[in-house]
Amino acid sequence: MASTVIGAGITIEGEVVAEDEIVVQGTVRGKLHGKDRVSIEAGAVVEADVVAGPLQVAGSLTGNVSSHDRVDLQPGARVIGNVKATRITIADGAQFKGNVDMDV
Amino acid sequence: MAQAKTITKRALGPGDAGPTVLSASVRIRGRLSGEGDVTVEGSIEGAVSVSGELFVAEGATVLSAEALEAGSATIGGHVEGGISAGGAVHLTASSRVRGDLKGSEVSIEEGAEFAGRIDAIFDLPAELGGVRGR
Repeated sequence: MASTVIGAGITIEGEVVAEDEIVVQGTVRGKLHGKDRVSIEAGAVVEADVVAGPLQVAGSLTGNVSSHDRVDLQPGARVIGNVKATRITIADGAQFKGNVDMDV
Repeated sequence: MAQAKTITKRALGPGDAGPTVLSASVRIRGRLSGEGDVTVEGSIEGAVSVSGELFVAEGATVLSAEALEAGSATIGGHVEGGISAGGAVHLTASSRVRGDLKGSEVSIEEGAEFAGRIDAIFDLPAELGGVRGR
């Protein structure tokens, strides 16, 4: 059970900062900074720069991503922005437009 | 070669406004709005407008320039800006609230700190006799 859930009907316009896991089912516009896992679920809309630990995306994400861990773009994900992470997977069925920087 | 692990996803139907929980480590600066119930355990600086129940837990802080809007509200934490609910507003013993309260019912537990006006249609108890309800 994730400690923080931004539900499907909810919109946050501004800055979200969290130490622990974040699950986004709704909409976030602005900035999303998590120290731990961030999940952007199917149906979620994030128009924000995202800083996270492990990041998994199944929804829509517009913005630049920086993760100190892995980024998984799952089937159905739609991501527009640059991704900086140590590891990345882009599943069959994920849409992605942007640069990948794996710090090599 | 590494393969992506299959991750079980919870089915979420359209219009399914699940509950929102903002844990103690979460800080939001900005506006939170929408449908469904919201539990705040961390801190929000900005406006809040939700259709469901707003629960501000003990230890949580909501600082807003305008009244928090909710279907109903239960406050155990610190709220600045007041509360406007279509339903009931309840301030528990641990709450600290500055601002006006508006709701179909307003209840304030003993131990709550409250500074503001109460705007509700009900008979005020004697200990609130100094504040005029409407």
